[in-house]
Amino acid sequence: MSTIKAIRKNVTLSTIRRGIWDENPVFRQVLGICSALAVTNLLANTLVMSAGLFFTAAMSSFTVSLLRKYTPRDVRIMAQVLIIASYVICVDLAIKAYYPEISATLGPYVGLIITNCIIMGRCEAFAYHNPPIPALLDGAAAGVGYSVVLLFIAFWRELLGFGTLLGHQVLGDGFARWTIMVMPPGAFFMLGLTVWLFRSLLPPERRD
Amino acid sequence: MNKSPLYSILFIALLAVFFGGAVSGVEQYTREKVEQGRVAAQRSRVLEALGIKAPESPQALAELWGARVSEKSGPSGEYYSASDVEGALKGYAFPFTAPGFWGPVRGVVAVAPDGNTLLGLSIISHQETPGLGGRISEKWFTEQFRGKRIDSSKSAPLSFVYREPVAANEVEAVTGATQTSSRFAGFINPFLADLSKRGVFAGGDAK
Repeated sequence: MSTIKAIRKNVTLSTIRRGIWDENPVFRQVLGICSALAVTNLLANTLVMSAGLFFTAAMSSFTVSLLRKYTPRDVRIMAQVLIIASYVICVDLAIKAYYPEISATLGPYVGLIITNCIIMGRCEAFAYHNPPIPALLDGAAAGVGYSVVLLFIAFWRELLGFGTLLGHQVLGDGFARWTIMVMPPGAFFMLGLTVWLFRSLLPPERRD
Repeated sequence: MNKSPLYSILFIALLAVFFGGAVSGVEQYTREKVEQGRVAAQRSRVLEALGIKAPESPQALAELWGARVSEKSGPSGEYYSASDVEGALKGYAFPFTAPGFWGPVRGVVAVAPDGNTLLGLSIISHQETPGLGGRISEKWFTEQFRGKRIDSSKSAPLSFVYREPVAANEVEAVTGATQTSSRFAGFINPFLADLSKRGVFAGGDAK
């Protein structure tokens, strides 16, 4: 009995570890790059976007898994998109209602979570073949993996570009703002540097 | 799992009804909040055009709006009349819908009571390309209109240039977004030239 428990715990941990680190959606699989570039110039926007993606990824995987035994193979992608789209629209409506300012700056990117390869990928590769709880964990872990990288990028872009963190002045007036960091080219520099940094932390045989 | 085509159709139809219903429910539930947010955002933009600092909290915004702005309607559509802190007339704000490259550009123009001094201009919504035409809603662009004289004897009171503005009636257009800029200029010039002929400035219509 205890061995089964231990194995379960092990599988759970490895699912989480895989989503956040080993197969991190952004720096290992290089997915979700559009939004990683677009919504990372302010930490507040990135937080809202990450929360939206986390919720959608976890809930979509969970739902796809719940329905996996009743979903015919030939219409499974259609079903997955329908499920993902429903959650994304709910998230979009919630942000519009409670954070109208952030909704205006995020623009179409919340709606575009629907076509985010991270969520579709997890639904198709994992949730469709696994029970609901592991699927929920797997989706959530992918969401966390995405969020960690985006928040890391946004932290540096906002700090260096505006001298602020979450809108609070952190660097003194003497600091010359690196305006380029909050412009689109800054996103490319930071994303490239981030992927390079995280990949260099991996053992050499896994860097491929 | 392989089932008959009929099953697939039924499955998707049921799923669509269930999730469609759920989304509609959430939409109903949040509709009022979304609408409040939309109205607040629009009011902030009107105040911005008038050169009045819009407070961030919804209550303070509603109070300020109630105290200093009144919504009126004239023969050329709705407009706003605003007073300054002492209660004297500050100016009028006129909403407009200009053609953009991808879709309508909605905004508001505020004019002093003399009818030929621009108090300011702000953009409420647009669908232009982010980073290119979308820059028309940025402060550097909209702030240029503050205090500009409208010479209504000219068909084009403002001149949009793709360089540093020199003359008093020049405004810097958005480089790299010629379509958006020229459409916007083509709309706003006749609109501004026509403003001073409106009843409010002639002392005629709807007070």
